[in-house]
Amino acid sequence: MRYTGKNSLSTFIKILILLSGLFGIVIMLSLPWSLPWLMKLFYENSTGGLYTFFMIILYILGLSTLVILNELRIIFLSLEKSDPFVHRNVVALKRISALCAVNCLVFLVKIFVANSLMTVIALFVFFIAMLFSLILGEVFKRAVEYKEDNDLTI
Amino acid sequence: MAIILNLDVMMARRKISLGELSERIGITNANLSILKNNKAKAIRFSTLEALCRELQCQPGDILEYSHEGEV
Repeated sequence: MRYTGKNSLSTFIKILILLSGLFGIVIMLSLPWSLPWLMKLFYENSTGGLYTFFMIILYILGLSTLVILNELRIIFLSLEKSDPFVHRNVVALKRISALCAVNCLVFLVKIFVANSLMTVIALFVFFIAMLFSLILGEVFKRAVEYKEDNDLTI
Repeated sequence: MAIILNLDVMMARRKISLGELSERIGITNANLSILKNNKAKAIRFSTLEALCRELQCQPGDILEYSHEGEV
């Protein structure tokens, strides 16, 4: 199996990310209609205040996750071109890390307002993703420097 | 860069073109151009050896240290 280049695993993951992004946009657009239905399903005694709170956090999480998906798409696009060690990928990983931190904060706030087991798990997952992308960004930065040095050694 | 490559001077003295020299030493035109324009970060001994062989000179004839460009 080919991992990078045209028609490889990277291409498949890139398409998967694109579809996830489109699905995310549809979910976000349907929130004003789907949220009241979902809240009835999970929080029977909900108040109007909680509805507004959920609306705000879901839009923040949705937007930041869409940007994360777009940055991931850019990374996989460079993998498809078999040239992943570029400065743009370092920027993408740093952005992913920052947006994971935003998502962490949102889930932290949600723990105090409407806690659930999934909220704690999501907080943990985004925290790990934040640290992971931060370190990976630094590793990529080193790799880009090494590549530039190698390319300019004649 | 404090180290300057005077490749263009030596090439002019030997009356050799970029294309011909790159073909003789076995590197691409683009890479030789990087060397000629002082954009390179490092030079391999094998490249320097090939350059000296083809231009019939010493490494000191091509390489020069300049105080002005010091960081």
